[in-house]
Amino acid sequence: MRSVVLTALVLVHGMAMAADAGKQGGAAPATPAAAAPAVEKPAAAPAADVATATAPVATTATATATAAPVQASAADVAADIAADEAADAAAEAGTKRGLVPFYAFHFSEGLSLPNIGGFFFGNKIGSTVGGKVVLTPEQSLFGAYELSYEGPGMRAQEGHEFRERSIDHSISAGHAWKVSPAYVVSSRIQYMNEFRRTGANESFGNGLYDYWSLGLAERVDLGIVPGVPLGAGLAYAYVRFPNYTDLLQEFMSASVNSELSGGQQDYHRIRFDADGRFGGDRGRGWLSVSMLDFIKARVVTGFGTAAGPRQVDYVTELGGSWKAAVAQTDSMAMTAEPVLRVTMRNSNQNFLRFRHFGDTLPSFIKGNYNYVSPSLGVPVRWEWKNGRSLFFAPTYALLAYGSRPPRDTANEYRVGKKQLNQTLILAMGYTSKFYAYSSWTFGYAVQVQKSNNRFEKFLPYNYTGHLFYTSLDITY
Amino acid sequence: MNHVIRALSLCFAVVWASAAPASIKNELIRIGEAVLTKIALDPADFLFDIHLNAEDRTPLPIDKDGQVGMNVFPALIPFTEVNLSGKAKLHREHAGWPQIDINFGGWNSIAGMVASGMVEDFKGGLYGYHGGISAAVSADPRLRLFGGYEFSQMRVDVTVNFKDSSTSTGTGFDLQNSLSHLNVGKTEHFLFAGAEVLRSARKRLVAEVGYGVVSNKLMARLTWSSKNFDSGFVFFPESAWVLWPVWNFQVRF
Repeated sequence: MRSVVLTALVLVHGMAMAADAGKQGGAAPATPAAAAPAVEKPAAAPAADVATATAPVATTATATATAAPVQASAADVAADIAADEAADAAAEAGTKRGLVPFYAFHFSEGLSLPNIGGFFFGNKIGSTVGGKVVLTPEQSLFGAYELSYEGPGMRAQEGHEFRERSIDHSISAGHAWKVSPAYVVSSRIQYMNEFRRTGANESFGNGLYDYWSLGLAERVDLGIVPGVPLGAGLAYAYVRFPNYTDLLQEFMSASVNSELSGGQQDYHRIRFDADGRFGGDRGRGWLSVSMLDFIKARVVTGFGTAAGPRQVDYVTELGGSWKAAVAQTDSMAMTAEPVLRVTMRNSNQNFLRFRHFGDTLPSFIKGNYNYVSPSLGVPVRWEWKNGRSLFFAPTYALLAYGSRPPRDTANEYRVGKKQLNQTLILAMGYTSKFYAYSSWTFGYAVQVQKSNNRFEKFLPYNYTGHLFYTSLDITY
Repeated sequence: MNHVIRALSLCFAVVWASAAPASIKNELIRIGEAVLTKIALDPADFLFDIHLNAEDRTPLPIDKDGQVGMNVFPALIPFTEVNLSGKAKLHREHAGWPQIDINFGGWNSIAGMVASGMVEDFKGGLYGYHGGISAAVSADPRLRLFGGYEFSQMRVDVTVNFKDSSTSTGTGFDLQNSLSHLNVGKTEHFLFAGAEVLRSARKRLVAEVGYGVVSNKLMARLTWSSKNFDSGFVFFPESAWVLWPVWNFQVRF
């Protein structure tokens, strides 16, 4: 279990830090759980859809549907650890009772050299503490707290500035019940709070896209088919952005009910996920469907009013991986684990784009936020028995919008075209276990970002960046 | 495996050389200016980071009951903060109960005292203190986990004598000639958690993440601990100066 957690942390945080590994287009997931977490981070980065050329922070009501895919995160790893540990506790029923602590520490420091703008340093820090209590051979409790920081860095796909950074607090607690040898039920409650700085003018705790979420999750693990463990889960979360406000709407109706402009990002999220392993644990497959039911945001109509039905987004992810032993000697094993993943977002929200305040002829884009995003990663790893390893992880991802046209350098829509973003990441590095439970990684990654969107005054869409980084992990 | 490391280092150097922008000097100047600007805009945070460097939250070794020590770099040298810190074990780990330690310490800035003495009718002081409690449990013969709470305080006290100054500014509610003391500071309450990996009987690697709940201050510390000298790094990811090397001297008994 600990090796799985370590691998997940190394992969999610380290192998492709430039690729924003846990996010869409990033490094391959180490586990289905990491790829399809039971409690997911909300997508909250409509900065890509800045409506006006003059006010980067003044998003319109139409920007509430987000461009960024729903993302797995470091915080999800904490929940996965808790769930997996609980499952292990149930599986190891009767072997030990009492409190068993677990801990994960991650630190990475990287130097990013994009070909636009200057170079910069960024780092990630993560700390997870938790424990499980085996009550009886069938019953166990678990809890975990994770604190994570993500500093400036090159992001996969769009919607983020290089200098963006965040602090996450995540607390989860739950119960696992081994009903029968082939049937384990686990329940979890999770609270998460994220402070996000999208610009230098925000301080932690006052960010426009700060949010907290509170949710419940149920999961069933089935061992009814020999050699093919299956699992399925259902989760609910209330996600609230306490500081979010629609500045344009407040500006337009300042004397009426400007407070109505708040809460446009808040939503209920219901998520179903299923996963399975096959081929002697070498193959994995997963499916997840999330429904984001926005509480206040309404669909913008072609008449320029937010008078439509409430916004509802669906995010679907389908993925699979296969771990293949390519070569093996007495001292070294070479493995490759291709991962194919397709993420789709379908939203009933539209986009009304004002190029400037007072624009009397805004552009109306129906289905502006719908996209399909396939990605393929083929991480290859050479592992020596002394604990050292090399890795090479190429990843290619597309983000194809269904109806959103790209913009030219003058911020005009290129009519007749659809926005298409491409990400190529080549990550490689060396990892060594240097003390018990600890490993050190030195890595390099090159990221090539392409888009037919040429308007890059506020956010980068086309660039090539190099990342040199080192990371330390301690996991128990 | 050393040849692999050397080969990787060479690859990195080649890629670095090809990837680095030609105006790298200008970039370094830009970063330097940004750092200095950030320090100028929030000098208290910079001073507070130096103050935090001197705090040692690592748990006492299992066979030691106390510790007295000081931070040599960067607090004492070059920032002239004369500091002393200590730890005491309240409870030895046994029977399922964790080891409980308290830690405490303080410092006073020589530079602050000297500078204030150079100005007539002005006295100033820059000092700080901290105290905390931590619990450590052995998860494995080579690994201990710990966590705790710490109160940290940095103070700036200024005493001004206005007796020879103008007695009135001409306003109807003039309190300026009564101003004599100005006491300001920076307070933080830290929660921290970490792991201690035994490298040998006397040497440890300690990793720790601390979070200040007052100002959302995050810090990470890596410490290579030995019998009398600890060295390591402290990271303040949101500060003007992110990475501080630290060097402590201590006696454990």
